[in-house]
Amino acid sequence: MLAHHGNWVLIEQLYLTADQRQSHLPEETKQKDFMLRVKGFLLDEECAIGSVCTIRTKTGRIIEGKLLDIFVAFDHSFGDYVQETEYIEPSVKAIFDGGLNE
Amino acid sequence: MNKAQSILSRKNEILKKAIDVDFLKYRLSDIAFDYTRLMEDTGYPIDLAQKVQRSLGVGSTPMLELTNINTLIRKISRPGLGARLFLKDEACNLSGSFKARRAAISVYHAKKLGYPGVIAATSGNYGAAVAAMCAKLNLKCIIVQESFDSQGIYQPEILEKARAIEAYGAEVVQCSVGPELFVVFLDLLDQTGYFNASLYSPYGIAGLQTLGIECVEDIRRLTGKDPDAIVVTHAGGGNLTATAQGAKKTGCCCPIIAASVDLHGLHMASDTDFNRKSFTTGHTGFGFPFAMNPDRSDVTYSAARALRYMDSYYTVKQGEVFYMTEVLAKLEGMERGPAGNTSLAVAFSLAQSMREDQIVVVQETEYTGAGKHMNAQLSFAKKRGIKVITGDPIQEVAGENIILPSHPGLIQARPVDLDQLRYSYLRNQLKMHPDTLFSQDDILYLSQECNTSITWTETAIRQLKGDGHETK
Repeated sequence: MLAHHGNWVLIEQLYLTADQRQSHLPEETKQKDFMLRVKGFLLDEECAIGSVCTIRTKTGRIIEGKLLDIFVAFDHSFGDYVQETEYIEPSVKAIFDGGLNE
Repeated sequence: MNKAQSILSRKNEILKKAIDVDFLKYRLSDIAFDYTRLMEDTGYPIDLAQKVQRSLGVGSTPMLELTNINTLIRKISRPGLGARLFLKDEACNLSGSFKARRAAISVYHAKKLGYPGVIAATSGNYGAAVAAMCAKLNLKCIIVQESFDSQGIYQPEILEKARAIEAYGAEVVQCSVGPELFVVFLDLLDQTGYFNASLYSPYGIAGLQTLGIECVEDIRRLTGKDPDAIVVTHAGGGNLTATAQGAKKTGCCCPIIAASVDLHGLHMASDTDFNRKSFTTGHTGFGFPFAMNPDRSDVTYSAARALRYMDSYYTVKQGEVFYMTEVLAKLEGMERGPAGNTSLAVAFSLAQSMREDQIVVVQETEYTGAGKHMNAQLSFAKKRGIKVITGDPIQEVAGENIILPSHPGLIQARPVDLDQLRYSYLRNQLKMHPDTLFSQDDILYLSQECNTSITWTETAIRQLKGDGHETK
Protein backbone atom coordinates (compact mmCIF):
# COMPACT_ATOMS: atom_id res chain seq x y z
CA MET A 1 0.00 0.00 0.00
CA LEU A 2 1.26 3.46 -0.88
CA ALA A 3 1.00 6.63 1.16
CA HIS A 4 0.99 9.93 -0.68
CA HIS A 5 2.33 13.37 0.14
CA GLY A 6 0.28 14.98 2.89
CA ASN A 7 -1.31 11.72 4.14
CA TRP A 8 -1.61 11.27 7.94
CA VAL A 9 0.68 8.33 8.68
CA LEU A 10 2.30 6.39 11.52
CA ILE A 11 6.05 5.75 11.49
CA GLU A 12 8.32 3.70 13.70
CA GLN A 13 11.86 4.63 14.72
CA LEU A 14 14.52 2.39 16.18
CA TYR A 15 15.56 4.73 18.99
CA LEU A 16 18.00 2.51 20.90
CA THR A 17 19.30 -0.90 19.87
CA ALA A 18 19.18 -3.62 22.50
CA ASP A 19 22.89 -3.20 23.24
CA GLN A 20 22.42 0.53 23.90
CA ARG A 21 19.78 -0.05 26.58
CA GLN A 22 20.20 0.46 30.30
CA SER A 23 21.97 -2.36 32.08
CA HIS A 24 19.64 -2.88 35.04
CA LEU A 25 16.57 -3.92 33.02
CA PRO A 26 14.87 -7.32 33.19
CA GLU A 27 16.35 -9.67 30.57
CA GLU A 28 13.17 -9.84 28.48
CA THR A 29 13.23 -6.05 28.12
CA LYS A 30 16.97 -5.66 27.64
CA GLN A 31 16.98 -8.04 24.68
CA LYS A 32 14.52 -5.89 22.75
CA ASP A 33 15.23 -2.74 20.76
CA PHE A 34 13.66 0.42 22.18
CA MET A 35 11.18 1.70 19.62
CA LEU A 36 9.23 4.91 19.09
CA ARG A 37 6.05 5.47 17.12
CA VAL A 38 4.95 8.92 15.98
CA LYS A 39 2.26 10.20 13.61
CA GLY A 40 2.47 13.03 11.14
CA PHE A 41 1.88 14.19 7.59
CA LEU A 42 3.99 12.49 4.90
CA LEU A 43 6.55 14.82 3.30
CA ASP A 44 7.73 12.40 0.59
CA GLU A 45 5.85 12.26 -2.72
CA GLU A 46 4.92 8.68 -1.91
CA CYS A 47 6.06 5.83 0.29
CA ALA A 48 5.21 2.14 0.60
CA ILE A 49 4.43 0.56 3.96
CA GLY A 50 7.68 -0.77 5.41
CA SER A 51 9.84 1.81 3.61
CA VAL A 52 11.59 4.76 5.21
CA CYS A 53 9.86 8.11 4.93
CA THR A 54 9.87 11.60 6.39
CA ILE A 55 6.96 13.22 8.21
CA ARG A 56 6.03 16.54 9.77
CA THR A 57 4.50 15.96 13.22
CA LYS A 58 1.73 18.01 14.85
CA THR A 59 4.31 20.27 16.49
CA GLY A 60 6.22 20.74 13.23
CA ARG A 61 9.11 18.37 13.94
CA ILE A 62 10.52 16.74 10.80
CA ILE A 63 11.47 13.14 11.50
CA GLU A 64 12.26 9.98 9.62
CA GLY A 65 11.16 6.41 10.21
CA LYS A 66 9.67 3.26 8.77
CA LEU A 67 6.12 3.69 7.49
CA LEU A 68 3.75 1.49 9.51
CA ASP A 69 0.25 2.67 8.61
CA ILE A 70 -1.72 5.23 6.62
CA PHE A 71 -4.75 7.27 7.83
CA VAL A 72 -4.42 5.64 11.24
CA ALA A 73 -7.71 5.31 13.10
CA PHE A 74 -8.27 4.36 16.72
CA ASP A 75 -10.16 1.10 17.02
CA HIS A 76 -9.85 0.37 20.73
CA SER A 77 -13.22 -0.54 22.15
CA PHE A 78 -15.33 -1.26 25.21
CA GLY A 79 -14.19 -4.88 24.98
CA ASP A 80 -16.19 -8.06 24.57
CA TYR A 81 -19.25 -9.02 26.55
CA VAL A 82 -17.95 -9.99 29.99
CA GLN A 83 -20.11 -12.73 31.45
CA GLU A 84 -18.02 -12.92 34.63
CA THR A 85 -19.41 -9.64 35.99
CA GLU A 86 -23.09 -10.53 35.43
CA TYR A 87 -23.58 -11.67 39.05
CA ILE A 88 -22.49 -8.38 40.63
CA GLU A 89 -25.65 -6.36 40.06
CA PRO A 90 -28.24 -8.92 41.23
CA SER A 91 -26.19 -10.01 44.24
CA VAL A 92 -25.50 -6.45 45.39
CA LYS A 93 -29.12 -5.40 44.84
CA ALA A 94 -30.32 -8.42 46.84
CA ILE A 95 -28.31 -7.15 49.82
CA PHE A 96 -29.36 -3.55 49.15
CA ASP A 97 -33.07 -4.44 49.03
CA GLY A 98 -32.83 -6.96 51.89
CA GLY A 99 -32.90 -6.53 55.65
CA LEU A 100 -30.36 -4.71 57.78
CA ASN A 101 -27.00 -6.25 58.60
CA GLU A 102 -27.34 -9.41 56.52
CA MET B 1 29.23 7.08 24.45
CA ASN B 2 25.96 6.05 22.78
CA LYS B 3 22.99 8.35 22.13
CA ALA B 4 21.30 7.60 25.47
CA GLN B 5 24.47 8.14 27.49
CA SER B 6 25.22 11.36 25.66
CA ILE B 7 21.74 12.77 26.35
CA LEU B 8 21.76 11.63 29.97
CA SER B 9 25.17 13.28 30.50
CA ARG B 10 23.46 16.60 29.64
CA LYS B 11 20.42 15.93 31.83
CA ASN B 12 20.90 18.82 34.25
CA GLU B 13 21.60 21.34 31.49
CA ILE B 14 18.52 20.23 29.51
CA LEU B 15 16.20 20.23 32.53
CA LYS B 16 17.42 23.63 33.67
CA LYS B 17 16.39 25.24 30.39
CA ALA B 18 13.04 23.51 30.42
CA ILE B 19 11.76 24.77 33.76
CA ASP B 20 12.38 28.08 35.50
CA VAL B 21 12.92 26.64 38.95
CA ASP B 22 16.51 26.94 40.17
CA PHE B 23 16.33 23.78 42.24
CA LEU B 24 19.88 24.12 43.52
CA LYS B 25 18.86 27.30 45.33
CA TYR B 26 16.91 25.07 47.73
CA ARG B 27 19.77 22.67 48.43
CA LEU B 28 20.67 22.53 52.12
CA SER B 29 23.15 19.64 52.06
CA ASP B 30 23.91 16.46 50.11
CA ILE B 31 20.80 15.02 51.72
CA ALA B 32 18.38 17.83 52.40
CA PHE B 33 16.61 20.61 50.53
CA ASP B 34 14.19 23.30 51.66
CA TYR B 35 10.88 21.80 50.54
CA THR B 36 8.72 24.42 52.28
CA ARG B 37 10.48 27.28 50.52
CA LEU B 38 10.37 25.48 47.15
CA MET B 39 6.57 25.28 47.48
CA GLU B 40 6.20 28.85 48.78
CA ASP B 41 8.22 30.23 45.86
CA THR B 42 5.96 28.84 43.12
CA GLY B 43 4.10 32.14 42.94
CA TYR B 44 0.71 30.39 42.82
CA PRO B 45 -1.01 30.86 46.17
CA ILE B 46 -4.41 29.17 46.41
CA ASP B 47 -6.51 32.16 45.32
CA LEU B 48 -4.44 32.63 42.16
CA ALA B 49 -4.42 28.87 41.41
CA GLN B 50 -8.22 28.84 41.77
CA LYS B 51 -8.59 31.86 39.51
CA VAL B 52 -6.40 30.32 36.80
CA GLN B 53 -8.27 27.03 37.06
CA ARG B 54 -11.70 28.69 36.88
CA SER B 55 -10.62 30.42 33.67
CA LEU B 56 -9.64 27.03 32.22
CA GLY B 57 -12.73 24.99 33.10
CA VAL B 58 -11.06 23.24 36.00
CA GLY B 59 -12.08 22.75 39.64
CA SER B 60 -15.27 23.24 41.66
CA THR B 61 -16.37 19.70 40.83
CA PRO B 62 -19.44 18.13 42.49
CA MET B 63 -19.13 16.37 45.86
CA LEU B 64 -21.73 13.61 45.90
CA GLU B 65 -22.90 11.53 48.83
CA LEU B 66 -22.94 7.88 47.72
CA THR B 67 -26.26 7.25 49.43
CA ASN B 68 -26.94 3.82 47.94
CA ILE B 69 -23.42 2.55 48.47
CA ASN B 70 -23.70 3.89 52.03
CA THR B 71 -26.88 1.84 52.51
CA LEU B 72 -25.01 -1.20 51.20
CA ILE B 73 -22.13 -0.53 53.61
CA ARG B 74 -24.51 -0.42 56.58
CA LYS B 75 -26.21 -3.63 55.51
CA ILE B 76 -22.91 -5.49 55.65
CA SER B 77 -21.50 -3.70 58.72
CA ARG B 78 -22.11 -4.39 62.42
CA PRO B 79 -24.89 -2.26 63.97
CA GLY B 80 -23.77 1.34 64.55
CA LEU B 81 -20.93 1.03 62.06
CA GLY B 82 -20.73 2.16 58.45
CA ALA B 83 -19.35 5.63 57.75
CA ARG B 84 -20.85 7.83 55.03
CA LEU B 85 -18.86 8.02 51.79
CA PHE B 86 -18.79 11.21 49.73
CA LEU B 87 -17.21 11.14 46.27
CA LYS B 88 -15.48 14.10 44.61
CA ASP B 89 -16.47 13.80 40.95
CA GLU B 90 -13.23 14.95 39.41
CA ALA B 91 -14.25 13.44 36.06
CA CYS B 92 -16.18 16.71 35.60
CA ASN B 93 -12.95 18.65 35.04
CA LEU B 94 -12.02 19.57 31.48
CA SER B 95 -10.24 16.45 30.09
CA GLY B 96 -11.96 14.17 32.59
CA SER B 97 -9.74 13.85 35.64
CA PHE B 98 -8.14 15.67 38.58
CA LYS B 99 -4.95 15.86 36.51
CA ALA B 100 -6.40 18.97 34.87
CA ARG B 101 -5.73 20.86 38.11
CA ARG B 102 -2.03 20.10 37.81
CA ALA B 103 -1.89 20.74 34.09
CA ALA B 104 -3.76 24.07 34.37
CA ILE B 105 -1.08 25.72 36.48
CA SER B 106 1.91 24.16 34.66
CA VAL B 107 0.64 25.09 31.21
CA TYR B 108 -0.50 28.56 32.32
CA HIS B 109 2.97 29.11 33.74
CA ALA B 110 4.66 27.93 30.52
CA LYS B 111 2.51 30.41 28.58
CA LYS B 112 3.34 33.22 31.00
CA LEU B 113 7.06 32.56 30.60
CA GLY B 114 6.76 32.62 26.80
CA TYR B 115 7.64 29.00 26.05
CA PRO B 116 6.34 27.94 22.61
CA GLY B 117 5.10 24.59 23.90
CA VAL B 118 5.20 22.02 26.66
CA ILE B 119 6.27 18.40 26.98
CA ALA B 120 5.15 15.87 29.56
CA ALA B 121 6.15 12.25 30.08
CA THR B 122 3.04 10.36 31.12
CA SER B 123 1.01 7.34 30.11
CA GLY B 124 -1.89 8.50 32.26
CA ASN B 125 -4.71 11.02 32.31
CA TYR B 126 -2.16 13.79 32.77
CA GLY B 127 -1.34 13.62 29.05
CA ALA B 128 -4.90 14.45 28.04
CA ALA B 129 -5.02 17.13 30.74
CA VAL B 130 -1.87 18.87 29.49
CA ALA B 131 -3.05 18.57 25.88
CA ALA B 132 -6.44 20.09 26.75
CA MET B 133 -4.86 23.01 28.61
CA CYS B 134 -2.48 23.58 25.68
CA ALA B 135 -5.46 23.65 23.33
CA LYS B 136 -7.11 26.27 25.52
CA LEU B 137 -3.93 28.37 25.85
CA ASN B 138 -2.75 27.86 22.27
CA LEU B 139 0.57 26.20 23.04
CA LYS B 140 2.20 23.32 21.23
CA CYS B 141 2.27 20.06 23.13
CA ILE B 142 4.09 16.74 23.02
CA ILE B 143 3.18 13.85 25.30
CA VAL B 144 5.62 10.94 25.64
CA GLN B 145 3.92 7.66 26.56
CA GLU B 146 5.00 4.11 27.32
CA SER B 147 2.49 2.47 25.02
CA PHE B 148 3.24 -0.90 23.46
CA ASP B 149 5.22 -4.08 24.09
CA SER B 150 7.81 -5.65 21.79
CA GLN B 151 5.00 -7.48 19.95
CA GLY B 152 3.56 -4.06 19.07
CA ILE B 153 0.53 -4.65 21.34
CA TYR B 154 -0.85 -1.52 22.97
CA GLN B 155 -2.35 -1.37 26.46
CA PRO B 156 -5.91 -0.27 25.53
CA GLU B 157 -6.15 2.30 28.32
CA ILE B 158 -2.98 4.03 27.13
CA LEU B 159 -4.28 3.93 23.56
CA GLU B 160 -7.41 5.75 24.74
CA LYS B 161 -5.24 8.41 26.32
CA ALA B 162 -3.32 8.78 23.05
CA ARG B 163 -6.65 9.26 21.30
CA ALA B 164 -7.70 11.96 23.75
CA ILE B 165 -4.33 13.71 23.45
CA GLU B 166 -4.63 13.75 19.66
CA ALA B 167 -8.22 14.94 19.93
CA TYR B 168 -6.90 18.04 21.73
CA GLY B 169 -4.42 18.65 18.91
CA ALA B 170 -1.22 17.49 20.56
CA GLU B 171 1.55 15.20 19.35
CA VAL B 172 1.96 11.78 20.95
CA VAL B 173 5.33 10.04 21.00
CA GLN B 174 4.71 6.41 21.83
CA CYS B 175 7.49 4.27 23.28
CA SER B 176 8.01 0.57 23.76
CA VAL B 177 8.50 -0.69 27.33
CA GLY B 178 11.34 0.64 29.46
CA PRO B 179 12.71 3.54 31.46
CA GLU B 180 14.52 4.92 28.38
CA LEU B 181 11.34 6.92 27.85
CA PHE B 182 13.12 9.46 30.03
CA VAL B 183 15.91 9.74 27.43
CA VAL B 184 13.33 10.42 24.72
CA PHE B 185 11.73 13.03 26.98
CA LEU B 186 15.07 14.81 27.50
CA ASP B 187 15.88 14.54 23.80
CA LEU B 188 12.55 16.20 22.90
CA LEU B 189 13.01 18.98 25.47
CA ASP B 190 16.45 19.59 24.01
CA GLN B 191 15.23 19.59 20.37
CA THR B 192 12.22 21.82 20.92
CA GLY B 193 13.07 24.19 23.79
CA TYR B 194 9.61 23.48 25.25
CA PHE B 195 8.62 23.74 28.91
CA ASN B 196 8.87 20.65 31.12
CA ALA B 197 5.30 20.26 32.40
CA SER B 198 6.52 17.69 34.88
CA LEU B 199 4.00 15.87 37.04
CA TYR B 200 6.40 16.50 39.90
CA SER B 201 7.07 20.23 39.53
CA PRO B 202 6.00 22.62 42.30
CA TYR B 203 3.56 24.23 39.83
CA GLY B 204 1.62 21.01 39.33
CA ILE B 205 1.49 20.33 43.05
CA ALA B 206 0.48 23.91 43.87
CA GLY B 207 -2.36 23.56 41.36
CA LEU B 208 -3.59 20.35 42.89
CA GLN B 209 -3.85 21.80 46.40
CA THR B 210 -7.19 23.26 45.33
CA LEU B 211 -8.58 19.72 45.37
CA GLY B 212 -7.66 19.22 49.04
CA ILE B 213 -9.28 22.53 49.89
CA GLU B 214 -12.48 21.67 48.03
CA CYS B 215 -12.66 18.22 49.65
CA VAL B 216 -12.85 19.85 53.09
CA GLU B 217 -14.92 22.90 52.19
CA ASP B 218 -17.51 20.83 50.28
CA ILE B 219 -17.98 18.53 53.28
CA ARG B 220 -18.27 21.48 55.68
CA ARG B 221 -20.91 23.03 53.46
CA LEU B 222 -22.86 19.78 53.02
CA THR B 223 -22.65 18.41 56.57
CA GLY B 224 -21.44 21.21 58.82
CA LYS B 225 -18.49 19.02 59.88
CA ASP B 226 -14.99 18.14 58.81
CA PRO B 227 -14.36 14.82 57.07
CA ASP B 228 -13.01 12.05 59.30
CA ALA B 229 -10.73 10.74 56.55
CA ILE B 230 -9.79 11.53 52.97
CA VAL B 231 -8.84 8.52 50.85
CA VAL B 232 -6.53 9.23 47.92
CA THR B 233 -5.49 6.92 45.09
CA HIS B 234 -1.70 6.94 45.25
CA ALA B 235 0.84 6.42 42.46
CA GLY B 236 3.56 9.02 41.86
CA GLY B 237 2.71 10.86 45.06
CA GLY B 238 1.45 14.20 43.76
CA ASN B 239 -2.22 13.48 44.33
CA LEU B 240 -1.69 12.56 47.96
CA THR B 241 0.85 15.32 48.68
CA ALA B 242 -1.19 18.16 47.25
CA THR B 243 -4.51 16.96 48.66
CA ALA B 244 -2.97 16.77 52.13
CA GLN B 245 -1.38 20.22 51.75
CA GLY B 246 -4.69 21.71 50.60
CA ALA B 247 -6.69 20.05 53.40
CA LYS B 248 -4.21 21.34 55.99
CA LYS B 249 -4.61 24.88 54.63
CA THR B 250 -8.29 24.72 55.61
CA GLY B 251 -7.36 23.80 59.18
CA CYS B 252 -8.69 20.26 58.77
CA CYS B 253 -6.44 17.64 60.32
CA CYS B 254 -8.24 14.45 59.35
CA PRO B 255 -6.09 11.48 58.34
CA ILE B 256 -4.98 11.28 54.72
CA ILE B 257 -5.18 7.67 53.60
CA ALA B 258 -3.28 6.37 50.57
CA ALA B 259 -4.78 3.66 48.36
CA SER B 260 -3.08 1.63 45.62
CA VAL B 261 -3.92 -1.41 43.54
CA ASP B 262 -1.72 -4.33 44.51
CA LEU B 263 0.42 -5.30 41.52
CA HIS B 264 2.97 -7.13 43.63
CA GLY B 265 4.98 -9.54 41.49
CA LEU B 266 4.76 -7.65 38.21
CA HIS B 267 7.94 -5.81 37.17
CA MET B 268 7.24 -2.32 35.87
CA ALA B 269 10.12 -2.40 33.37
CA SER B 270 9.27 -5.87 32.07
CA ASP B 271 8.27 -6.17 28.44
CA THR B 272 6.28 -9.33 29.19
CA ASP B 273 4.57 -8.02 32.36
CA PHE B 274 3.59 -4.74 30.65
CA ASN B 275 0.34 -6.06 29.24
CA ARG B 276 -0.44 -8.43 32.11
CA LYS B 277 -1.71 -5.65 34.36
CA SER B 278 -5.20 -4.18 34.14
CA PHE B 279 -4.31 -0.89 35.83
CA THR B 280 -1.81 1.51 34.31
CA THR B 281 -1.76 3.85 37.31
CA GLY B 282 -2.84 4.04 40.93
CA HIS B 283 -0.89 0.86 41.62
CA THR B 284 1.92 -0.27 43.91
CA GLY B 285 4.36 -0.39 40.96
CA PHE B 286 4.44 3.41 41.23
CA GLY B 287 3.07 3.88 44.75
CA PHE B 288 5.85 2.06 46.60
CA PRO B 289 8.93 3.28 44.68
CA PHE B 290 7.75 6.90 44.58
CA ALA B 291 7.05 6.87 48.33
CA MET B 292 10.47 5.36 49.04
CA ASN B 293 12.37 7.53 46.57
CA PRO B 294 10.38 10.59 45.46
CA ASP B 295 13.27 12.13 43.54
CA ARG B 296 13.30 9.36 40.91
CA SER B 297 11.36 11.82 38.73
CA ASP B 298 12.02 14.28 35.92
CA VAL B 299 12.92 17.26 38.14
CA THR B 300 15.86 17.71 40.52
CA TYR B 301 13.67 17.80 43.61
CA SER B 302 10.18 16.38 43.31
CA ALA B 303 7.40 18.43 44.86
CA ALA B 304 5.41 15.19 45.26
CA ARG B 305 6.55 13.72 48.59
CA ALA B 306 3.83 11.32 49.65
CA LEU B 307 5.57 9.73 52.62
CA ARG B 308 5.51 13.11 54.37
CA TYR B 309 1.73 13.17 54.29
CA MET B 310 0.28 9.67 54.36
CA ASP B 311 -1.20 8.76 57.72
CA SER B 312 -1.88 5.23 56.55
CA TYR B 313 -1.64 3.27 53.32
CA TYR B 314 -3.81 0.41 52.08
CA THR B 315 -3.81 -1.79 49.01
CA VAL B 316 -6.68 -3.52 47.25
CA LYS B 317 -6.67 -6.08 44.46
CA GLN B 318 -7.57 -5.45 40.84
CA GLY B 319 -10.73 -7.57 41.15
CA GLU B 320 -11.92 -5.49 44.11
CA VAL B 321 -11.58 -2.23 42.19
CA PHE B 322 -13.39 -3.68 39.17
CA TYR B 323 -16.18 -4.86 41.48
CA MET B 324 -16.56 -1.39 43.04
CA THR B 325 -16.51 0.15 39.56
CA GLU B 326 -19.53 -1.99 38.70
CA VAL B 327 -21.25 -1.17 42.02
CA LEU B 328 -20.71 2.57 41.44
CA ALA B 329 -22.41 2.28 38.05
CA LYS B 330 -25.26 0.02 39.15
CA LEU B 331 -26.11 1.66 42.51
CA GLU B 332 -25.13 5.28 41.95
CA GLY B 333 -25.53 5.72 38.20
CA MET B 334 -21.91 6.79 37.84
CA GLU B 335 -19.80 5.10 35.18
CA ARG B 336 -16.24 6.06 36.06
CA GLY B 337 -12.68 4.70 36.15
CA PRO B 338 -11.73 1.99 36.88
CA ALA B 339 -8.26 3.10 38.10
CA GLY B 340 -9.62 6.17 39.88
CA ASN B 341 -11.94 3.90 41.87
CA THR B 342 -9.04 2.43 43.83
CA SER B 343 -9.71 4.90 46.65
CA LEU B 344 -13.40 3.98 46.52
CA ALA B 345 -12.62 0.29 47.09
CA VAL B 346 -10.37 1.15 50.06
CA ALA B 347 -12.94 3.57 51.52
CA PHE B 348 -15.73 0.98 51.09
CA SER B 349 -13.75 -1.45 53.22
CA LEU B 350 -12.60 1.03 55.87
CA ALA B 351 -16.09 2.57 56.28
CA GLN B 352 -17.38 -0.75 57.60
CA SER B 353 -15.29 -0.38 60.75
CA MET B 354 -16.03 3.33 61.26
CA ARG B 355 -19.02 4.82 63.09
CA GLU B 356 -22.21 5.74 61.24
CA ASP B 357 -21.74 9.42 62.03
CA GLN B 358 -18.27 9.53 60.46
CA ILE B 359 -17.55 10.87 56.99
CA VAL B 360 -15.03 9.59 54.47
CA VAL B 361 -14.14 11.52 51.33
CA VAL B 362 -13.24 9.47 48.27
CA GLN B 363 -11.19 12.14 46.64
CA GLU B 364 -11.48 11.54 42.89
CA THR B 365 -13.16 9.94 39.93
CA GLU B 366 -11.85 9.81 36.37
CA TYR B 367 -13.77 9.54 33.11
CA THR B 368 -14.22 6.15 31.55
CA GLY B 369 -14.25 5.36 27.86
CA ALA B 370 -13.20 2.85 25.22
CA GLY B 371 -9.98 1.14 26.28
CA LYS B 372 -10.22 2.38 29.86
CA HIS B 373 -13.57 0.75 30.60
CA MET B 374 -13.54 -2.30 32.88
CA ASN B 375 -14.96 -4.49 30.12
CA ALA B 376 -12.14 -3.39 27.81
CA GLN B 377 -9.59 -4.24 30.49
CA LEU B 378 -11.19 -7.55 31.52
CA SER B 379 -11.48 -8.64 27.87
CA PHE B 380 -7.86 -7.67 27.22
CA ALA B 381 -6.71 -9.59 30.31
CA LYS B 382 -8.69 -12.71 29.32
CA LYS B 383 -7.18 -12.67 25.83
CA ARG B 384 -3.76 -12.75 27.46
CA GLY B 385 -4.60 -15.85 29.48
CA ILE B 386 -5.43 -14.10 32.75
CA LYS B 387 -8.31 -15.87 34.49
CA VAL B 388 -11.28 -13.78 35.60
CA ILE B 389 -13.02 -15.65 38.40
CA THR B 390 -15.31 -15.06 41.37
CA GLY B 391 -14.11 -15.82 44.88
CA ASP B 392 -12.04 -14.34 47.67
CA PRO B 393 -9.79 -11.60 46.24
CA ILE B 394 -7.11 -12.30 48.84
CA GLN B 395 -6.06 -15.13 46.53
CA GLU B 396 -5.60 -12.87 43.51
CA VAL B 397 -2.14 -13.02 41.92
CA ALA B 398 -1.50 -10.03 39.64
CA GLY B 399 -0.76 -11.15 36.10
CA GLU B 400 -2.29 -14.61 36.64
CA ASN B 401 -5.86 -13.99 37.72
CA ILE B 402 -8.40 -11.32 38.59
CA ILE B 403 -10.67 -12.37 41.44
CA LEU B 404 -13.99 -10.55 41.67
CA PRO B 405 -15.29 -10.80 45.25
CA SER B 406 -18.26 -13.16 45.63
CA HIS B 407 -19.65 -10.86 48.36
CA PRO B 408 -18.95 -7.14 48.93
CA GLY B 409 -17.88 -7.97 52.50
CA LEU B 410 -14.81 -9.70 51.04
CA ILE B 411 -13.35 -6.39 49.83
CA GLN B 412 -10.46 -5.78 52.18
CA ALA B 413 -8.24 -2.73 52.45
CA ARG B 414 -4.94 -4.37 53.39
CA PRO B 415 -2.60 -2.16 55.40
CA VAL B 416 0.91 -1.38 54.18
CA ASP B 417 3.53 -1.21 56.93
CA LEU B 418 4.57 2.45 56.77
CA ASP B 419 7.64 1.78 58.91
CA GLN B 420 8.86 -0.61 56.23
CA LEU B 421 8.41 2.14 53.63
CA ARG B 422 10.30 4.55 55.91
CA TYR B 423 13.16 2.05 56.30
CA SER B 424 13.27 1.66 52.52
CA TYR B 425 13.30 5.42 52.10
CA LEU B 426 16.24 5.73 54.51
CA ARG B 427 18.01 2.76 52.90
CA ASN B 428 17.79 4.56 49.55
CA GLN B 429 19.27 7.70 51.10
CA LEU B 430 22.13 5.68 52.59
CA LYS B 431 22.74 4.01 49.24
CA MET B 432 22.81 7.36 47.42
CA HIS B 433 25.05 9.02 50.01
CA PRO B 434 27.21 6.21 51.39
CA ASP B 435 29.98 8.42 52.74
CA THR B 436 27.89 11.24 54.15
CA LEU B 437 27.85 11.97 57.84
CA PHE B 438 24.32 13.03 58.66
CA SER B 439 24.13 16.34 60.50
CA GLN B 440 21.37 17.09 62.99
CA ASP B 441 19.70 19.17 60.27
CA ASP B 442 19.84 16.18 57.92
CA ILE B 443 18.22 13.98 60.57
CA LEU B 444 15.48 16.57 61.06
CA TYR B 445 14.91 16.66 57.28
CA LEU B 446 14.78 12.86 57.05
CA SER B 447 12.31 12.68 59.95
CA GLN B 448 10.09 15.19 58.11
CA GLU B 449 10.44 13.16 54.92
CA CYS B 450 9.37 10.03 56.79
CA ASN B 451 6.66 11.80 58.81
CA THR B 452 8.11 10.40 62.01
CA SER B 453 10.11 11.45 65.07
CA ILE B 454 13.78 12.37 65.17
CA THR B 455 14.38 9.56 67.65
CA TRP B 456 12.77 6.98 65.35
CA THR B 457 14.82 8.27 62.42
CA GLU B 458 18.10 8.20 64.35
CA THR B 459 17.43 4.68 65.58
CA ALA B 460 16.45 3.48 62.11
CA ILE B 461 19.59 4.97 60.54
CA ARG B 462 21.76 3.37 63.23
CA GLN B 463 20.12 0.00 62.58
CA LEU B 464 20.52 0.33 58.82
CA LYS B 465 24.12 1.46 58.99
CA GLY B 466 25.20 -0.97 61.65
CA ASP B 467 27.89 0.31 63.95
CA GLY B 468 29.90 2.08 61.30
CA HIS B 469 27.85 5.26 61.12
CA GLU B 470 27.93 8.40 63.19
CA THR B 471 26.14 11.70 63.02
CA LYS B 472 28.25 14.79 63.36
